[in-house]
Amino acid sequence: MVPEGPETRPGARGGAHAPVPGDADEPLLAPADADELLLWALMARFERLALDRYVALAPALADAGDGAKRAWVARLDALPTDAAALAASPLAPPTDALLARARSADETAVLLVQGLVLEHLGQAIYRIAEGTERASDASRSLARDGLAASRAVTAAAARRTADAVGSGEDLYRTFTDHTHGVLGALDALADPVDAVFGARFGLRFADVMGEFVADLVAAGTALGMQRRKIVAHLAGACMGL
Amino acid sequence: MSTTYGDLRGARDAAQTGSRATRHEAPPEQAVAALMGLAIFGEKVAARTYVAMAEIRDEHAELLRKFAGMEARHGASFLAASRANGVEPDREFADGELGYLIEQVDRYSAERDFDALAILQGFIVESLAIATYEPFLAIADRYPGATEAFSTALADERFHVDWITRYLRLRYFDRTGEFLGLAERVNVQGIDCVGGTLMNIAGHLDQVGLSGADCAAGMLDGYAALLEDVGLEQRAALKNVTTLFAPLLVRYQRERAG
Repeated sequence: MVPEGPETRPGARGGAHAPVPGDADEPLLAPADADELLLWALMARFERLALDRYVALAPALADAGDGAKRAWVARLDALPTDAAALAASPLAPPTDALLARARSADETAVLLVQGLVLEHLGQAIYRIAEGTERASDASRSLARDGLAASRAVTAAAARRTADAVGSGEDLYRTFTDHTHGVLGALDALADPVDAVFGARFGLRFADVMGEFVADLVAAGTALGMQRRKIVAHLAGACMGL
Repeated sequence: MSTTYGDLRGARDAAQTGSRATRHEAPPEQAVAALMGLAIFGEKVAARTYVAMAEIRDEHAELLRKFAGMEARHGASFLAASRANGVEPDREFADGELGYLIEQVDRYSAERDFDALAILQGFIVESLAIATYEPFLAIADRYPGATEAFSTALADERFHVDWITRYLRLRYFDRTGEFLGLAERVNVQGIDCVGGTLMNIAGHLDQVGLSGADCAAGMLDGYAALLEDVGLEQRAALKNVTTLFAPLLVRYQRERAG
């Protein structure tokens, strides 16, 4: 059962903006490819919640890159994804649990949970999907565009975080307080991701985590947080401590 | 790279069936006995590994035999400190942890794969030692004789790491891609093995007043930094090490949750 929320409603808030039409030569995603559509249905849930939170609490992120995230969500909404198939998959329970911890209620939480952690997690997934030859050209093209939209947001999020939350040790304390719950919920996705996408795309949880941690550490140190402390926070949260 | 840890995890699981139950709920005395057992017998394995490396490369044999002697002395000083505090090291626990490592060392030795041994012993195993000895020094004064034993060992391990780093930098100068391939090959079993041991002692580390999570981060980040010192980019090093650590972290959380 998928709980009702902004991430489950196509076109929620940001969807008021018209989708950016794809290139005329862009490959089309075949509706018959259920595994690929499942990936995009999953990403759509994360992206809708992110956009909803940006519009409500961090408008600079919603507007970043000329509204890149709005256009990206609209594009995901236009795909022939099947929400029921996602809800019936083993991905649904851990995704529900993770997103329940990501309903950020203020700008600081949005900047750190969505703008830093989940955007970089999404980038890791997009990067792997873009690079795998086992995905269709259409999915690889989508992944490339999702990555570009996310990068526009993380650049804006870094600037806004430095201005609104701070940097260095102060930021680290706020970062750990706000992100422990979300990071601690990632482990439940490991088996479902490997089972659903591992053989099909070569998209495995461990590979996603490798990409994610490498990027998050780089983003965190750019904001003045200590590398070792970021790794310790990630390790502790992933160990359930 | 794609992970191929499934089969290797199975090998480790079989070797360590007996150690899981003690991981989170052991009383402090049992935790100290397990940690000292691992430290003492782990140093003996380290000595054995440096001897194996000396037998492969004549030009470095004299120095590597000195390293082996230093590791053996660490084991002896840890045993003396252990006995001085009435702690009987848990050999059974140590054997369960070290068997998987010894198998990998023996395989590389038989193949005369010096560079793989250099990474396994000089980087991965030494990173585990440093990641635990360093924070332990903050509480070592609770155990008479432990501060001197562990501070000497820590300084020696850093010396070994420095030499291995210089060796690998020279050998793989301008051949970073080849070094990455070597590291990836060794890491698949090496991190599963040695990182898995760290996960298995994380609860014990918490019990004696350290942080298992901080030690895990120390090993993960410390080892990645060593790969960077040889020439890998930060992103490549962190990505590869984390990819192989991630299943261990996930498994720890699940087993802890029961």
